[in-house]
Amino acid sequence: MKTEYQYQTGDQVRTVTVERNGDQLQVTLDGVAYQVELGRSTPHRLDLTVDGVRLTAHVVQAGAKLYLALNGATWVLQHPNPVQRRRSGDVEQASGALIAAMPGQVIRLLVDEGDLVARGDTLAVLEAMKMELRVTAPYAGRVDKVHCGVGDVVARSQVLLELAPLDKFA
Amino acid sequence: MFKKILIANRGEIAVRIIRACQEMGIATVAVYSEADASARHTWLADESVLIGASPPGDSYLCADRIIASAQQLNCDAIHPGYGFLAENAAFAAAVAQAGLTFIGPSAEAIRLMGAKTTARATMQAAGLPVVPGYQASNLDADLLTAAAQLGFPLLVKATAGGGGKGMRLVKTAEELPDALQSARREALNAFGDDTVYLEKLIENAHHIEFQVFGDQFGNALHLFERECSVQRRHQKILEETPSPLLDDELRARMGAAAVNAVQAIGYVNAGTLEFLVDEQRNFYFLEMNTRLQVEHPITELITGIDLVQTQLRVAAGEPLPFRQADLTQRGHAIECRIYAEDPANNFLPAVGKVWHIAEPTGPNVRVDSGITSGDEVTLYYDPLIAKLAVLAADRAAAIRKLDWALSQYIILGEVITNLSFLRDLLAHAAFQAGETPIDFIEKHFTAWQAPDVMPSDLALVVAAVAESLNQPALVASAARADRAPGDPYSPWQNLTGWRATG
Repeated sequence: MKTEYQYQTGDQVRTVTVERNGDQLQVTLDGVAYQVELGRSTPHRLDLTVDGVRLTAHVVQAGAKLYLALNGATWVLQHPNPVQRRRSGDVEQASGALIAAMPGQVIRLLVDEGDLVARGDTLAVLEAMKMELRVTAPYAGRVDKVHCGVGDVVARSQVLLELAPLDKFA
Repeated sequence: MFKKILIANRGEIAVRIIRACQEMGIATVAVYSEADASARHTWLADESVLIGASPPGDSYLCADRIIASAQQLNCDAIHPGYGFLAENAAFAAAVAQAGLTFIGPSAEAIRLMGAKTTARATMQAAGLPVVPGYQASNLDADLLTAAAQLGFPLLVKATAGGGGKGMRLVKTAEELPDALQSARREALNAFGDDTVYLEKLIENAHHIEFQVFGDQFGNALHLFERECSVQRRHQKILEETPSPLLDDELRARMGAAAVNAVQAIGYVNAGTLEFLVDEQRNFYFLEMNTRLQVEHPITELITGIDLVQTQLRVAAGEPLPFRQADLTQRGHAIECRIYAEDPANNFLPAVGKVWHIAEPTGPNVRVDSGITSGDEVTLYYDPLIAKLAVLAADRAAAIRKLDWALSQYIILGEVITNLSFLRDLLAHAAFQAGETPIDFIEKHFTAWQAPDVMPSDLALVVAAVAESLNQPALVASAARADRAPGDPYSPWQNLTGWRATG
């Protein structure tokens, strides 16, 4: 039996084929074959031999992600996602959306929809782990939308406000 | 000795104190907030009490509830750990008033050292060099005149300050009025007190602190230094002892100054004198921390003394069980702090589930951790989740050992940690040469990116093998239940990205 797994790495999709033969596996990536022999596995720990080299991997499959630690490095692997996630930088430039640089609680909101603000003005303040982070206007503009309220807990990269640029304020 | 102690803290330090109590045969009571209902420290203590909601103001800072719990459960002492109520003079006084022992210095000593200007004046009177500055008046006009005499660059600091709040670096006279205004505003918000003072900026300084101890019989001593210059946002990342900067002569002079300070204020229990050391190797008193320090393990490693157990003995009225002449620095110890934060995103906090942790073990490798597999790091508390410390024969060997230990430290989950950043820090030539003034991180690591974002071919091979096994042991047990509603990603099992090809 042959199974194919695909992983998104940057803009690339890499395909790995696994063919099982009892406890022996033949794995192929980009035309290169690897002989894999399985050792013992305990919760989130897997011993295996790849082309004669003994390895211990730590693995967690959680939701859509696979967390892997191997040889002192850690990766978060993801299958190719049909819904392309927009990168935070794109959002900011495309729509004037200001996003949360860290997860946190909105402890102050200093603007209303329609307010005109100058570059550098503090619009909101986030707090997480005893640390305050000011959300400032990256350019002069008008607050089009406020997507958060005081007390809200927001995730990293969540849109907080939308700010339409006003060139005359620049 | 005490029969039962309440630990008014959480995380790794609560775990550390519970262990010391267990070794001494003392019963323990843990307190916890709603967010910490299944935290590690609550399972280790003999009894655990819920004291309130998740925000610290509703739980770990509720002095009344903590003292009432200690009384109800017949405790005879409270250990405050560090942070939260540890340097709150009113809390120390209230504990004593309730007939319990506060494991730490007197409320008076906490108050005296808590206000930075009072601490500076007290230490100056005791003959310690302080950073040149001005604190005689709080009026803007006086501060402007004094600044011109002190020279630039200088720092505006909040009298009630801490953690960099209400602090401003001022490079020219023109910047000063704005800096005074914004520092006062921040200090008023954070501490309810807008008093500020000026300190000359010591450039390329090292932050070196001395661990001190006093007992109720007038004995005072120091347990050598800790080099704490590797910092981000005025918070330490890595500490070591001995300091690569000190020689025996300077160490002896600074140690004597530290002991002199303890005697001058009749200080009892563990404390830390923080100094700045400039390029000409002049040292200046900066502040005193009247509590156990986060980085105390490296002092324990090189001296062989258990500082927490010593705190308990001294608080119980025993004399210090060792003298200055008994103490030596054996080898070299380094500690690094494992933070839930993203070093590639300005070291901003990170939160989330921790699915799997594997800690390094071995001779002279020490892990002080407050979390376990399955825990969630929340945004309510400090980002410090664990400390990793090692002891080796010399500095080079200690760096190698710490790097090895970091390579074995595995934290898998949503939360981002600084583990790989710490390894890059250790590998840096300036760090290896011991050249770590306070701006070391700022200077060398501002644009740091994680080195291993792209998985290696071997990693992809192993990932595919792990998936093909389809073993429940590798799947996060609560993954499905914990997935947020509206998650844009499909569950792992239903992904369309892979298919069986018979």
